[in-house]
Amino acid sequence: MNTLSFESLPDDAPFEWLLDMFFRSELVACFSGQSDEEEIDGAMREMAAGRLEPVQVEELFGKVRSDSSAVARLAAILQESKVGVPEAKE
Amino acid sequence: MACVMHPQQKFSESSLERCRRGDLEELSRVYAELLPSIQGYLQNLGASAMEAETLASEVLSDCLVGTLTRPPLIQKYHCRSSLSTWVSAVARNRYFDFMRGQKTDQAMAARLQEALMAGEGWVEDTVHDEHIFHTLRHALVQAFQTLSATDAVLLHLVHGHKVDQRILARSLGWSDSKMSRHLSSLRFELKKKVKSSLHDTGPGGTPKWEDLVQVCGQMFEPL
Repeated sequence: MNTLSFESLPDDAPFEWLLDMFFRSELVACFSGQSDEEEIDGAMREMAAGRLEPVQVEELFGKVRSDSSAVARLAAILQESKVGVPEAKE
Repeated sequence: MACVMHPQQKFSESSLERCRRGDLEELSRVYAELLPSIQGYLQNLGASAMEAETLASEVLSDCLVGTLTRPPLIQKYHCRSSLSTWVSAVARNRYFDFMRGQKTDQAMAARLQEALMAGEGWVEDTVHDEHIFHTLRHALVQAFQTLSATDAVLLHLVHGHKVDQRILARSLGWSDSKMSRHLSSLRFELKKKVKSSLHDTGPGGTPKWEDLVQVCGQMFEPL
């Protein structure tokens, strides 16, 4: 077993991995809840198409935060429509 | 060490001085100038295009801007080589650290995968210190509860579903480098909160990385 001390982690890589496992294992159930599927799915598609303003994106995030299945749907929609997202300005 | 003065270096030295003073216009110019060469250098070392882009952004950000808790690394640059060469050296070290981390992560992930496949018996046999387990789990949950909705969802999308962070940056009207810095900062703050919580409530002695791995192994069910 690796005995790398938590105190002496050299960089963020192991912690990033911990977060990966944390989310994949759905430990974020402290945000458990359900959201209005029809309402937010429309907003998700708008976001994926690049038609939501940043403030609307943040509102959408607020609505899906408590629903891990909604976050999973959002991830799938974003990954499918990756090409359609416009470039951001620096 | 003072910079060696040559007429042809005046522009570089003036640029360096402006960067050290935090001149945003010059910092942006130097960032844009160095980014492609650092990305190319990292790709020559073996990084993928996405790894090179992310690491180059992070390195340049650390070198030129710094973080909330660390001053920019450029303050330690002594002009013994060109700025480009110096940043490349920082990038090279960062890439090697990254690769070492990847190897550690892959080994850890393989062990955990085996353990998860072994079923509940593994958990009962492997977790020897129940108190450490509950303390760590509590610390992790507490840290996540302090996040804003946007930050929680960002981390969930990036870490839970591997959504390309550039897509998220564009949706929020951020630059790729701003998103990269924001996620790094979020992870740093989370890690700090977890450590702080462990120190406040822990059973004495600092938990080892293997304890955290065991915590992950316990994550069969939502809390």
